[in-house]
This record gives sequence, structure tokens and C-alpha cells, in this order.
Amino acid sequence: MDRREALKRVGTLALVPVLGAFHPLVPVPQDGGAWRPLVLDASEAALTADLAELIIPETDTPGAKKANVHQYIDWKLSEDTRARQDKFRSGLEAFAGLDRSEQIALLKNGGAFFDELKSLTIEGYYRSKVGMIEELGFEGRTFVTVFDGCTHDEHLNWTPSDSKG
Amino acid sequence: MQILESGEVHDVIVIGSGASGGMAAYNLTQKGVKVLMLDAGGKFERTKFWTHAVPFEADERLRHGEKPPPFFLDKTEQPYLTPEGKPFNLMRVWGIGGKTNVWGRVSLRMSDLDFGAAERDGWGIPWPIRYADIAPYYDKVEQFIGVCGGDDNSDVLPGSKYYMPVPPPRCGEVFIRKSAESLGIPVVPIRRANITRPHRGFPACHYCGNCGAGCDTASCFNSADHLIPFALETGNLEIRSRAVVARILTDDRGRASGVQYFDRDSGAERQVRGRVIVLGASAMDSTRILLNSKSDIFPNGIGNGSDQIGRNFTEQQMVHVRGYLPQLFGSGYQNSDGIGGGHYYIPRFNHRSKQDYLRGFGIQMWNTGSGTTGERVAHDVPGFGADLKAAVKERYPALLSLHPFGEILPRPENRITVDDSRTDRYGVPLMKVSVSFGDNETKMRRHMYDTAEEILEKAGAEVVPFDRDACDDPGSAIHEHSTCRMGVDPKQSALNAFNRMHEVENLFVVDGSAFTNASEKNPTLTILALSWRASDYIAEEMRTGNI
Repeated sequence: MDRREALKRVGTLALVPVLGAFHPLVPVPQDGGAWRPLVLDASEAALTADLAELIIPETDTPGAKKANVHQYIDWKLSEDTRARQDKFRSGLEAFAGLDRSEQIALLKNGGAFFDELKSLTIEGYYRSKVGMIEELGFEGRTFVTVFDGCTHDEHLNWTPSDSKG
Repeated sequence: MQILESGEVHDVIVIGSGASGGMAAYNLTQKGVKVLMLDAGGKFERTKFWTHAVPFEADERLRHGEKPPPFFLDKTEQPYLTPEGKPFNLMRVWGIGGKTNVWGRVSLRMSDLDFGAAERDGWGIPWPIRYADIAPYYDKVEQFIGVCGGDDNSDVLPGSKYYMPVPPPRCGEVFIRKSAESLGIPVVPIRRANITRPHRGFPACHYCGNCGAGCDTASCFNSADHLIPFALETGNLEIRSRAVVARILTDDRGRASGVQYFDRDSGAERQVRGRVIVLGASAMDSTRILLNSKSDIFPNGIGNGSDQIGRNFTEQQMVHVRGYLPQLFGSGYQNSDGIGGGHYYIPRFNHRSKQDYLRGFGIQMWNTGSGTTGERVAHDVPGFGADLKAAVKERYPALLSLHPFGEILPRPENRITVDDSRTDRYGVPLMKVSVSFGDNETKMRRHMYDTAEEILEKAGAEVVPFDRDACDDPGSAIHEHSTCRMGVDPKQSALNAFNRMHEVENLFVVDGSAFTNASEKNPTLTILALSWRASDYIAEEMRTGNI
């Protein structure tokens, strides 16, 4: 069964309503070994991975690198215009050869490249299995027979006068 | 060149298969009327919807070359023109079911505040109907399609006996409700066409929250699932797919005689003849078709002796205000999917006090709660690094999001025209859309922002800074109206009280273009009710030989 077929089957399985069951997860390649960038060259991809890891670092949960955010960024750039690709690559150049603390200092200056890098990184990270499941504990977009909504007494009993507002 | 397919004259030709065309075809075929339906697209396969693809699954599929159903029409295939500096965001779905494949499902009854708006404030023309005329059809539509809602009933939002239960609110919605109510702004359960119980053979909503991708269990109303198959079952419906209608044809007495369309694949021209034509191609395309249907008798487009067709465009302006509620910080993931959009609704309240503008707005609250991803939150947190990551996690369940929808006044200069010098791939003139918002909208928008901000602040939320002048581009609400409006006076309107053209007795327009004004409410329930009512009338007129 090839990968596309596997994805199709997962799509079919997801149609079976099972109370409380989490949807089957599609495995995302984690090793990056077989991965070939579409837009970036190897050193640009490695630099992108390092910078993305500075935006979302590993803490008690994995960071951007383990979520393969650099692969996501390369893919998104491949779907976009040559102008955006070139802009990103030239933005990267300023970080080449810098050590980690120099890179952090440069990111702190902000600017158009920082905004682009941050935007792509948070998109790639929080859309990934790592970002959605491991980091934020997402359990939705599934089949449940009852939607519980808010069940917290401290919310249901709250009144606006309690608030600083 | 006349390219008549055959001498066959169809009883009724229905153009479009969404809420309006689908309902007309359903109702007419149930009554034994033979219908030919022309639709510009094909069927979207429900089993192939990406309803349950979470973002990383969807991304994987895309990276492997798969594509979700192509619901939205590519603007390069069928362009439209806008004047410099007047953007218009037109979203079209060409295919069986039309926009009901992906619609927001919010199903609000209009009231006599809406139908009587022009009499009340003197702006525009009166509707030729009142709530009492349409109420029995709201009852029928709600029972037929299945709508969940509460037991509230007000001058703004008339109640119904036919609602299914609404699921309970998310945490953030509890705070929004209490905050708004403490400010004297009533909050009611949402009314949405999600079936929360099994209904007419369709399973109940399973609360995945991703209605916008199309529902693969048909647990919310979609014409393609809930109307068209039942019309086909009668044996009275023939569907011609990928038929891009260009013009309504006219005979020498000024009656509609048929329809000219182009095959979307071959580009070949075709013509079909009919006794009655029902146009339900959605407001913009229906208007384009009417304006392009020129003849010696109707040099400005069929039924347009009044020069009202294309004018008076209305819709709603939409703004968005969001905040993060410290009481919910760090509370962890809470499943907030539910029935997709908000579980509460804030109906119009502004008419209870004096305002410096006309008409009103209601407030929706989709996205409140834990999002599907943390992207939105991460964009709202400045900086980078471990602090950013921690802040996103803390705020992820704490988002409150308000979306006021305000009525745009009908003005004759907000209009659709056709440009004879610019044509589409079939050689048919393109539509030109010229819409801008005026002073009334600016004043109302201020009140919309102030109210949303006040509700969030009263709840104790940290409001995300916003631009008070910002507003989504015209068209963004996807609720286009009034370019072929109903009215009593044939000089000021195109349609009578039964969606029949004043000037063409066998031509009916049943989509959102028929609305005399927009109101602040989402329109689909009213489109379904008007189309049911109009098609009852058509069937009766045909039975008695009047048409």
C-alpha cells in the first residue's frame, strides 16, 4: 500500500463514528533523511531549521526542528511566487555564519524577514502533529455523540462584577 | 445563430441548484411539475470531502498532490471587474448545491423590523410582504431542513416551535453571554441548520466543528443532499451539469422563451426552451444573466424597463474583535468544535435606543474557545522563543472572538453592470461590480466596534488592538442582495411579492437578489422560504393555466 493509498484509507476510516475515539493520525516523516528541499539548498534548509528552532525552541515539548518546520517552510515557499522565495532566501543570508547569540540579536531587531520567518514558523509548528497534539493537546475534529461545552462551575457561576472589568 | 437542441418545451427551467434553485426544483417536482435544472458545475462527492482532515493531515495530502473538493470558482475562469479603489470579494460556488455545500448554516428568521424597515426609517422601498406572509414557510423550511435553536422569541428574532436542541456553550461563550447581559444586551442560543438529532434519514451532527469543509455525513442542510436527491426521486427532474447560463431568451411578445447556455467543457452554445423560467443562480450571477439578456423589447436587460436591476446592492459589513480572557489562561485544551460556529448569538438591540444611523447589527462569535491550531494566538503574541511558546499555550483556550454583522443601506449607485467591451471565454459580457460603503455604514461600524470591545472588556478580556476604520472588503459576508428586488411599485422594483418579474410574467427570480433590503441577518433560511413560497405560486399558476 503506497502512501497516498494509506491516506485514502485513513480518510475512509475516519468516517466510522466511535465515541471518544481519536482520529487515526497520519505519520509525518520525522527523520528528514529522505527529504529533499524544493526551493532551498541544503545549507539554507539547515539554517532555516536553526532559525525556526529559535522562534519555537524545544522546551519540555519538542520545538520547530523536531516538527520539521523547515520542511513545511520549504514546501510553502515552493507553492508561492519566485519573488517570495527570493526574498526569503536573501533574508536568510544575513544569518549565515552567525553564531546562535548573534542570530538571536538579529531576530530581536525585527523587520520584514523576521515577520515572514515567524509567520511561517508558527504556521508550520502549530499545524504540525507535534504542535497540535504534543504541545497543545488538541483532541478535536472527531466524532462525538454529545458535545459537553463548558462544565466548569467557576465559569458557570461567574458574574461580571467579579471581574476587573 | 440559433442552436435549438430540440423542439421540446420544458415545463419549468430552473437555473441554479443551491438554496433557491434547489428548493424551487424540489417543490415543483414534488407537485408533479417537470423541471430541467441547469447548473454551472457538477456534483461534489460528499465521500471525498476533507471534513475530518486535521491541518497536518491536510498538509500531508496536499504535499502528495491531493486536492480538496474545488468548491470555490476560480476567478480567472469567470472574472468580474471592479473600479479602481473599490475592491469586491466575490465568492462563488458553481456546482450542485452551490454555496450550501459550505455555507455558515446560521438560520435566522427575519422579522417585521426587517420587512418594515423602509416604512420605519424612510430609506429605500418597502417589501411587498410582511412576516405573516413568510412565517408559514419558515415553519416548513425549519421542519424540513432541521435547525437547532432555543425557545427565545422577540421583535428582532421571531421564535419557532420546530427547533432541535443547541449544544451547550464553550467556556468563553459563557463569559460573553454574562458580560453582554450585564450590559443590557440580550444573548440567545444560535439558530443553525445543524441537525442535532437524526432527521429524514441523515445522522445527527457529530460535533467535529469543521462544517466549512463540507459535511461528509450531511448533518447540516446542503441542497445537494437534502433537496436534489428527493427531487430526482420523483422522476420529474432532469439535471444538466456544467451548463453556464448566459442569457434568458425572449419571444416577440416579451415573454421568456428559453435559456442560452454554454457547455463549460466544450464551450459549445446550447439553447433550451421552457414555459416558465426560474432563476436562482445566486444574486450576482442571476443579475449578470438578466442584464446580459438584451433584446429589442428589453434593451437594458430582460425585465429591466425600470432600470432597477443591478442597482441597490446590499449586504452586511463585517468586523472582527478578539481578546484573551485571563480567567481561562492555562486551562488546557477544551474541545470547542461543537456545531462549528458560535453556540450563542447576539441579536440586534440598537433599535431600543436612539442611534445616529439607520438599521442595525447582530453579533456572532465563531472561533471562541480553543482553536484547531495555535496559529491565531501565536500571531497575537509578540516576540519569539520559549516565552512565545509558553504564552501561546497559556492563551490557547482563552480566545474570545466577536463578529458584528451590520446592514448596508440600499443605494442606487452600488450596482452591478455588464461591460460589453469585456467578455468571458464564451464571448459573454463580464459583470462589473461597483460597491462602496457610506456614512451610515461608518457610523454603524463605530457602534459595532464599541459594542464588541465593551462586551470583551466587561468580561475582563485583554482586547487585541484593532483598527477602528478596518472593515472586510465588500462581498466578504457572501450575502449579496437586492440587485433584482421585490417591491410593490414596478417603477422601483423588478419583482412582485411572489418573486415574479413585473415585466415578464413567466420569469421568476428566487435567490438573494430578490431581497428588498438585506437586514443584519444571514439570508439562507429566508431564501429557502421565499423560494418555497414562489414555487408554490408557480405550481398553482401553472395548474390553473395562468402561465
